[in-house]
Amino acid sequence: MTSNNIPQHVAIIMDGNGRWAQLRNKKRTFGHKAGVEKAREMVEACGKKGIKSLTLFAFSSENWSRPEDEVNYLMELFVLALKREVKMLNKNGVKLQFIGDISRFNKKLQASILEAEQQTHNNSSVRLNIAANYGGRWDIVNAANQLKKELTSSQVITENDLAEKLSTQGLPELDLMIRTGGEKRISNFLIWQAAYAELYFSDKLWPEFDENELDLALADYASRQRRFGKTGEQIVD
Amino acid sequence: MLKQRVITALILLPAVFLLLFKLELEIFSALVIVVVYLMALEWAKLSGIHKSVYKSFFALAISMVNIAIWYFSERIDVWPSLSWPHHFKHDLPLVFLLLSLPVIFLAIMIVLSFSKNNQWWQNDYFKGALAFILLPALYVSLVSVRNQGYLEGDFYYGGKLVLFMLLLIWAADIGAFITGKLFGKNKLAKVSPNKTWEGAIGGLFFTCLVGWSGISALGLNVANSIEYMIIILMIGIASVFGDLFESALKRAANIKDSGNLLPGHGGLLDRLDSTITVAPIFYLSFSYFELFNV
Repeated sequence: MTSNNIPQHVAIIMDGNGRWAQLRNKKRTFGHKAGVEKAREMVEACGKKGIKSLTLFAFSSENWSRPEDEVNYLMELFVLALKREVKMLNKNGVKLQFIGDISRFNKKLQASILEAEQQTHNNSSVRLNIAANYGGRWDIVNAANQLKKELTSSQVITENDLAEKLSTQGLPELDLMIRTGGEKRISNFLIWQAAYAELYFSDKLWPEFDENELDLALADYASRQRRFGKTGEQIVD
Repeated sequence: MLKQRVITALILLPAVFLLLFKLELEIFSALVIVVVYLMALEWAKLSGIHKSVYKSFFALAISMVNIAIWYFSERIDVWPSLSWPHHFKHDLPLVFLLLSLPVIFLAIMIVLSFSKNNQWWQNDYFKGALAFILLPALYVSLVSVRNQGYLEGDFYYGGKLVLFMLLLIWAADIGAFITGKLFGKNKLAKVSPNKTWEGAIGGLFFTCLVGWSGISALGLNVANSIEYMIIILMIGIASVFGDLFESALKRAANIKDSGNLLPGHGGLLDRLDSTITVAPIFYLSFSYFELFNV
């Protein structure tokens, strides 16, 4: 695989932690622990492969009995896991960023998130983005509201104007979106950014998704002809 | 003697309940450090340290190790390691837990090879050094069992687990005492002449009973009951060896009781000797085989 065929920006919908745990008669939170561990592994694997930006979306497709609690729990785990990896992140020049509406988390968690971001603030070679309480529609509406404040009512806004206000501002274009756990939906993840992204769906539950599975996804990506809205002939030119 | 022993136990029991079911994890951790300090004072005596100033130094040094583990590791509610058992990462508490396994093995070898003439392990520095692994590992494993369920918002599930672990030990202890008294004939080990094979086997039987009833009482995740009962049996055996190991140390140092803190029981070390060998094995096996219901 040549480096041209390595995607610059990969996003992963990490689905299947809960089902994985239930299959083993464990509580869902046990699956989340395994999932966070897997995310750690995947960050390293993506770094090795030369992927410049990785966006992770912790998702659960099952009905959450107490959604707030479970999301808080999952994010708490994420922040803990990331903070203990700060050394590794700094060594590899990884800049950490949370995207999403974190204002709904408790104060302590918000402070931890900001602290974790701060600790890797000066890195630039790789970007690691954690989607926390993120919604694609929220992102667009949020961007529109920001523009509204800056522009007069007569001004026309462009795609670029809006893109600059999205939470993914400054990141490379999204090339590949992977979803594990068998579902074939985007589920309100990076809907604007996924406009031209290749989609890859894996039946593996997230805690089972390993480096080999990532290789399969990357090989699949490399084999596709990316047209960005053009026809096949236009690409050959 | 037995009466005094029972009275002390009855007074201590509420304290244990308070420790397990009313206090926050941080306070539990701090109190365990204090208890381990007191145990270390007694261990110092067994390692041939007689001056009380030096005994205090020894115990303080052990406490410093414990405090350092606490200070330099991440939040104690995810001890021994956030990654365990999905992945091995050398987090300090986990390192001490794993290091304790070869030391416990060494303790078993000391018991098995015990005789008056051959005491290859008879070296005060060596005996003292063992405490620097075993006692911090005891501290770490107690906190690690106690914090089960914490992230999930169930603050006292871990307390039940610690109590369960203690019950396994007490069952081995009391079961051995009763069956030994009733049927005891054949001596178990040179190091502890009052113990018999009949007693030990009876004790293990009681441990298995407690272990079996723990499955439903704690909602343990037992997929394979044979595997689970083997683990419980190993814990019972570790309990017996913990007891014998302390006896070997006392015998070598010509001491009857490790202390006199607990009327009728001797010292703290006499009461918690089995816990030293059981706690790390209990935590590591239960977490590795995913038995905890969290």
